Amino acid sequence: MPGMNKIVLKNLFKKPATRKYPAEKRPFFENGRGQMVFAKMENCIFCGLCSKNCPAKAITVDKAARVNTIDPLKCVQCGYCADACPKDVIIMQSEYYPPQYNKKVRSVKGPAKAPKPDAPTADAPAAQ
Amino acid sequence: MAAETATVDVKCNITFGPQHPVFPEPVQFKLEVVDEKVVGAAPVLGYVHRGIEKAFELNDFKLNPALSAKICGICPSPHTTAYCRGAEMLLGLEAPPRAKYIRVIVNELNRLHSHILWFGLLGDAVGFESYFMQTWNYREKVMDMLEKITGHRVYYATNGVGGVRRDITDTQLREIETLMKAVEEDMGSIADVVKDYTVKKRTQNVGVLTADEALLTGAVGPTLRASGIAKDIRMTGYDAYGEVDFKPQTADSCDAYGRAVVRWKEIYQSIEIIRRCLAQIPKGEIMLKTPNTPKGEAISRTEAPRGELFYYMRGNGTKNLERCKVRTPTYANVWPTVTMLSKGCQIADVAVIVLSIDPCISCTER
Amino acid sequence: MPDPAIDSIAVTKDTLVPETKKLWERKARFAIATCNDLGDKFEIIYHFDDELKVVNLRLQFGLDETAPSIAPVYPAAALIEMEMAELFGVKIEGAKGNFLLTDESPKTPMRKKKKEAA
Repeated sequence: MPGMNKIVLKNLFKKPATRKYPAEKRPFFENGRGQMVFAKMENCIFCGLCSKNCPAKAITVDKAARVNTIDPLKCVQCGYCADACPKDVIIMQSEYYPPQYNKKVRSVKGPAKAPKPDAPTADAPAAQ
Repeated sequence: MAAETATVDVKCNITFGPQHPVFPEPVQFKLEVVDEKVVGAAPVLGYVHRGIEKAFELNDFKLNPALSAKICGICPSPHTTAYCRGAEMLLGLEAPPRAKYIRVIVNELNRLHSHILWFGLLGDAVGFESYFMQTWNYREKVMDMLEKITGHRVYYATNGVGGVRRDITDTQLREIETLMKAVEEDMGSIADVVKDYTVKKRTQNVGVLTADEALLTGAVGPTLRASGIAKDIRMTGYDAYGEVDFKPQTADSCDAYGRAVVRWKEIYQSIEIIRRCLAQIPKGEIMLKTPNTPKGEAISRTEAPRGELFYYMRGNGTKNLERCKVRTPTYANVWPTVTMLSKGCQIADVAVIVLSIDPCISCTER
Repeated sequence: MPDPAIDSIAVTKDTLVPETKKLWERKARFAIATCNDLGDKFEIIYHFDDELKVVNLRLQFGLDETAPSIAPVYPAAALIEMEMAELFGVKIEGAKGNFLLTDESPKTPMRKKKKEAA
């Protein structure tokens, strides 16, 4: 193989193309779609848009209990939930979901329902 | 008087697959063999059927690009492009110009990494393992670039109905230009290996498909263009292909070596198309606001690395599609493979013939 | 037919094979056939590619009728006819057998579920 001999000789003197994992981990690029995270739960209003826009039906929103659940084994890391959220609660992180031994889902609790502002009282000054 | 003897050809049945080290995906070919020559073949499919056409009807039509990208792992970009163009035709819209250029850039980067992958599989089919590993190492640079642009190495979900979801920054456009120089240098360093004596002996005059047979059995993609017929869906000028001066690449030898030559030329042509797009890309918005009522029928076709990808879509005014039919290029290339195998090839050539059409069985069975 | 629809030539069970022969003489390439479940009848659209333009032949017939096969003219159509017979339960001449599904799979999964009258 005369054509391949040149490449073999060059590869002898180059550093290897493989990485000594797990001693050396691969750095991830920014803006990657590795996993989704409910990052800013204090802003969540439980509108359910993330759940309606999930093609894999991996997100469950429980408005009564104020709890959001993500099933990491169903998630396909498409990012539609992050685009749909009106309050920027969900962000996509570059690192992949870690492997799991069993099918557990992740739940996060959100803020309690904000009380309604005071209704106008009966003896407010009327325009005369 | 000598007794007359009659000779009878004894046919053996040999099953090739579904698990075979040379096929990337499970497919079975039942071969009828006389001595060492194959005289008939029958494909058996159905090992990875997932029912995706039914799943298209169950979701909101704007969420379906995430599903259509899952049909194939090596060519998700043409699938999402074809779906989004079909949905835009049902709504009566067109994507903005900058979105069209971004779609072309991601499609051509996809074609680059797919053809470099195929050269590696060709080396694997003839037993040339070091060539296989060297090309797959060169492919990593293209996959890293795609991860920077789209966010994931394999599952590029950038296309949305009405445009693209993610923009390419100016820094990334300069990095793509540097990548093109690196790919040219890498492929140039292994150009002599493709013209090597052993590779030519294993692929020349193997899997011959004449021009008439190619047209009448419905071949698509490099399988068709290696028989001298210059047909490519990018000639219709969809997205931004009408503005980059595109010409299809052909070869005349009608065999597996001709298909390797066509894919080699297409690698260099993809580099040229990306360079023209980088020079001409306009500024502007990347996504339109779209209504929720797809109505009517539409046909959208794109050129995947393996051939013509055909989507037929039908909407009835609600936000679920009524029918979405997908015909992938390997589905159209199954009958030409059976024709090629039945002409009397050796058993050792079956792997080279089946790999020369670049089979993607998960696309075929959806 | 939904509005707007694609350009198509309407054929009947008798005119399907003669129209296909005309396309064969023009060296058109057979692309694929699509089956639609319209509730009370089936509709099969045959798509051909003639010099990069799509030509469609539209055939509609009842649920219990048998449609003719174009495999004598275009042998590559045998695959898609087997698939349509299996996934939709359409009766086409000469199309039978398991292609994508197994014996334990649900039968004719692509048919629309009948909505019950309220």
